[in-house]
Amino acid sequence: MYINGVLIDDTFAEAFPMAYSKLIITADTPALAMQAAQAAAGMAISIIGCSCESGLGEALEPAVTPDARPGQVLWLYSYSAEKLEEQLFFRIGQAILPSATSACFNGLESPLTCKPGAKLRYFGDGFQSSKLLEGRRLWRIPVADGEFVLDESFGIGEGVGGGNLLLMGIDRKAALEAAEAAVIAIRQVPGAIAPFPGGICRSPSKPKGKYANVPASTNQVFCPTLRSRVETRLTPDAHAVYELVIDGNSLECVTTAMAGAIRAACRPGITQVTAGNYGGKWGKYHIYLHQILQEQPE
Amino acid sequence: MRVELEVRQDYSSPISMNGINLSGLFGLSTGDIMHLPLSHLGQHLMVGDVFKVNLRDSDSNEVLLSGNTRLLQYCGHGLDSGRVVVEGDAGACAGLEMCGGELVIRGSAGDCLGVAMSGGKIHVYGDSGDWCGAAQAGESKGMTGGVILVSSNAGSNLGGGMRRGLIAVSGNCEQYTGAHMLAGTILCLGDMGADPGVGMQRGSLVAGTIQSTLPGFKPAGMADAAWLRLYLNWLQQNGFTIPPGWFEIEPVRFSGDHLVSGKGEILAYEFTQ
Repeated sequence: MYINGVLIDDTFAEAFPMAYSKLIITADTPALAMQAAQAAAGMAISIIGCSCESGLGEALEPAVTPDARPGQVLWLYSYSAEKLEEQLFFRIGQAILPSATSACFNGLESPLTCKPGAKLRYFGDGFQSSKLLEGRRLWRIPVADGEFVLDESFGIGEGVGGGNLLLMGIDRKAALEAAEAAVIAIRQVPGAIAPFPGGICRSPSKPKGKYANVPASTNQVFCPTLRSRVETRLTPDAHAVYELVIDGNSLECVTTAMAGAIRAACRPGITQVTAGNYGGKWGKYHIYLHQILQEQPE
Repeated sequence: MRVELEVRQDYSSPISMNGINLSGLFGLSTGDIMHLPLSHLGQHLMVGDVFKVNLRDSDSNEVLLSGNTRLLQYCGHGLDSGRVVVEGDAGACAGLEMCGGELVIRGSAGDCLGVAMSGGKIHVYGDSGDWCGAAQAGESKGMTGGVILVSSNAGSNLGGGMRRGLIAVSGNCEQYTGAHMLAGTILCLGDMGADPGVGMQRGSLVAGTIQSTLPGFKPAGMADAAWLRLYLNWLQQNGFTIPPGWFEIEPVRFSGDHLVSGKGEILAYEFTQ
C-alpha cells in the first residue's frame, strides 16, 4: 500500500492495556495551569523508565472547569491501577501542589477509582479540611498563596498504550518534518497522547539487551549508523528514523490517531512507514496499518 | 409508579404524616395506601380519609401531594428513595430523618425542614421556616448528609448543629445561621442575618452579606475560593442564580468560633460592619 508515494509496510503495532486517569488542572491563568500540567507530565516519557506515560490534553475554558478558572487536561497512563495511583500521588504532590494558584480535579467518571487525595491531605499537617458534595470529597490544603484544592478520588479507565509508528526518511530533516506533522494529527484526537518529547522518539528500543539489568536497549535494526553491521530494517534510501508512540483512552482512539498520523506523515522525503511489534506474543492488541487505513478513510 | 395523593378538603389544623415513609408506597395497592394510619388533632385517621388516592404507571417512582398541603406535617419523613413532589406549601418537619431520594416542595416549607436528615436532596422553591437542617429537639447533631436547596428565604437557626452536607439559600436567612455547627457547608446568597456561626466548631458559612461577626470570630484575610467556585458551579447547574462577580472575586474570611475550636469559617462577599 502506498500513500502519496510512501510505502506503508504490511505489518502491525503491538499494543497493551493500560490504566489511565484524566486530570483537570486549574489555575488563575491559562499559563499557570499549563505550567503545572507540564511539571506533572515531566519525564513521564516511557513506562520503561518511570512506570508512567503522560501527555497534555486540551486547554479548558473557565466555563467548563470545576472551579470556573482556566484549566488544562493532563492524561496519565501506567501499566496497572496500583502503579497509576502511586504516580498520581507522586506527581500531584511534587508538581501540581507547589505550582502557584493551582487546583487539581478528577476528569474521569469511572467505577474504578483510586484515592491519591486521601494521602496528599496529610501535607496539611492537621490543618487540612474537606468538603463533601454529593459523594465527591474535596481536600483543602493550606498553602502559602491560599489553599490547594484537590479531589480525593480519581477515576481509572482502561486504555491502550504502545501504539506506534516508525517513519523512515531520506534524511533527518525530512523525517523530522513528517514526525512533527504526524504529532499534530495525533493531538487532534481527544484522549490520545504522544508521550515522548515533542511527541517524537529518536530511540526506538527493544526489550532487554546484551547487558544484564538493562530493561531496554537500542533497536539496532533502525539505526542508520549500524546498517553495515547488523541485519537492518531500513529501506536502502532511509537515513533517519523517528518513532511515534501513542497511548489512548480506547483502542479506537489509538487507531484513529495512528491513521491520522500515517496520512500526515506521508509526504516527500519519507520512504516508508512501519510499526514495531514483538511478533505478536506480548501485546493484547495488534493494530494492522493497512486495516486501520482502510477502516478509517481520509 | 406514580402515587397521587390529593388532600380532600381544606383543613384548618395540622395533619401529621409522621411514620408514613412515602418510599414505601411504591408497590402497594390503592386499598393498602388508603388504609395507612394518619393523625389529625389527636384522632387516628386513615390516608383514605384525608386524601384521594390515584395510582398511575410511570417509569420512575414518584409521589405527588396536591390540594391544600400547607398543613401537612412530616411530608417525606424518613424518605429513602424515589421522588416526592409537594405541589404547594408543606407544613413543619418535611423531610425529617430523610436518608435518600428527592423531596421537591413547589411552595414554601414550615419549620424543621430536613431536620436530622442524612442523605438525599430537598428543594424548596419558596421559603423555609426555622431550624432547617438542624438537630432534633434534645439532640446536638443536625443534618449529617444530603443537600437542602431553598430558592427563597430561610428562617432562623438554619443548619443548627449541622454535621455534614450542604444547605444553600438563594435569598436571606434570619439569625443564628450555623449555630453550634459541627461541619458541613451553608451558603446564603443574600444576607445571613445576625450572629452567624455562634458556637460553630468546623464547617463553612458563605454569605452574600453579613452585618457583623461575633467576638469569637477573627479576620483571616481573603478566602481562596477554588472549592467554593465548584459549589457555585454546582448550584448554578441546579437552578440557582449566582450573584454577578462571585466567580471572580474572593470573599473576606473569618475563622471561628474561637470560643469553641476556631476551625470553622465564615466567608462573606460583603461585610458591612
